[in-house]
Amino acid sequence: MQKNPTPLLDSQEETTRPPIGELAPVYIETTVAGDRATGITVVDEKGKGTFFPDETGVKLSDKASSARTNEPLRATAPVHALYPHWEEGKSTAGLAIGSVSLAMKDLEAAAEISEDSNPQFLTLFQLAETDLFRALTQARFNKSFELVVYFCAWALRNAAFSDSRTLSLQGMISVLRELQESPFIQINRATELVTGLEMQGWNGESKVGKLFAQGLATSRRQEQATQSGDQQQLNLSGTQD
Amino acid sequence: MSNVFVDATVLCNAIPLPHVSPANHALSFSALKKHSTSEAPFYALKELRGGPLSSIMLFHNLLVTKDTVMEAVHEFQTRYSHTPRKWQAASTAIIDALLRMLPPLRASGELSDAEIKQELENSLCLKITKAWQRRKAVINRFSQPLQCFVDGDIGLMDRQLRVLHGGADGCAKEARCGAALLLQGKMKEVAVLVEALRPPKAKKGEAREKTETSTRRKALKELQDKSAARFDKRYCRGIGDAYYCLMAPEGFEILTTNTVDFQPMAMALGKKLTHP
Repeated sequence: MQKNPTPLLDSQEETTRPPIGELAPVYIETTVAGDRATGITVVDEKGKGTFFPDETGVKLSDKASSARTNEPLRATAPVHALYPHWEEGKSTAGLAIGSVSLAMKDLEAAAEISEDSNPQFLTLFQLAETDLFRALTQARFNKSFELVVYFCAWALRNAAFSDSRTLSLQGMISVLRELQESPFIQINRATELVTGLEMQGWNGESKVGKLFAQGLATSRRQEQATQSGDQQQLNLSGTQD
Repeated sequence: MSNVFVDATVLCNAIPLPHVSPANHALSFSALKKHSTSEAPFYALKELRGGPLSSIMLFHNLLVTKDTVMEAVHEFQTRYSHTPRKWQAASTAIIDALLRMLPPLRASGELSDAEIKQELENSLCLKITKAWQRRKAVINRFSQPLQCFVDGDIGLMDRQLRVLHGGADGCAKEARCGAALLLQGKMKEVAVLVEALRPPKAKKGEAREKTETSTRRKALKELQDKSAARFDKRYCRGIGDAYYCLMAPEGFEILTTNTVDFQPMAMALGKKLTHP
């Protein structure tokens, strides 16, 4: 499991989670772009901040305005939603990050084995795949995180073992490391990570995604046939271009 | 090797949006690469955002909010008929593909409805965001910025995709129509197009003119009759293909997949058309 960032609160032994407002003073400031808040930054008493973009669903209390503020405010989200690292292994977010971390370690071990025909390599590869599919079921706390996990899980499943020699395990490990360290990744960065993996040859399309693409290709072929009819008509009139 | 002025249909295929077939993507993408300069107006980005991108994002968001894929499809069907005819292809392709794919998949019992919905949602979401990121990378340069258009950025809110700001097509309500302001300097050419789009007297049994053509003529007449300052912005989308024919710079061919609709206008203005 990864090293904890500075937790907001030291209450690991608590069994019942009180509302965050009762735990400790939490300083929150909005981050603004133009006239609109794009997220919030939770700053602990030592001044260390963690940014939560709007898409994570973390809300400010009614006291917060869209303008920048350094006033102490209470968060309205439960702490496990605010700070999944804090409760590693307890919240689904923490579990998802843990599963990603395990997958990363499995792939790191696989990358150290030079021959991919080695049974140990295949086992590690499959373990990583299992870890990521488990993470996928736990990743709903941030859809951008979930999308990268989805792509990586299916990329490992789709990778024929004969192809794995040519695929960049290091590229995949690097992406998983970023996910583990930035679970509140935003959609643009998530898309960049996936595009990067695709450029390295990974194919993260799911079974349903592939069937949908096939269905679209059939549908488009029919449309093209109709369009080529139009085109033929145009050429016959001798007026194109 | 020539210079091309690119319309939204080619842009849509080149990025590509999820409903575009690999073959159409390859055609448009290679057509852009083989010309020395490709230029697209911001109007193409506006059309892309208000047309196919908006349809596909709507379907993705319905997948998020509805319990099953079929519920999302039914809701999508009731809404997609309001989109312009040329962009209905995207909605139709999506619905056809799903109606073909879902029954055997559900009958196989391999995946639950929830799993099918989740995989489809994630697959579509990634395809949309990838297309969004590529939309400016496939064209050499974008020209003719519009004061009313907010390009914005894509993001997630409550798991739904949103482009902020400016509503579905990025049009700022308070701003005057930028396209009308640009076309104001082309009133002679606008008059030529209004004439070229005038329907011949329909004989008995002949098909009536396309709605899109009559809407375009109305939009151009609105521009003729009123100043750009008083132009009714609801007609902006109606200008459509005429915009590219009127605004293609000297020395540029118009690159479009829709040569059938462009052809009479391009001919009337003496502009060259090319097809991917």
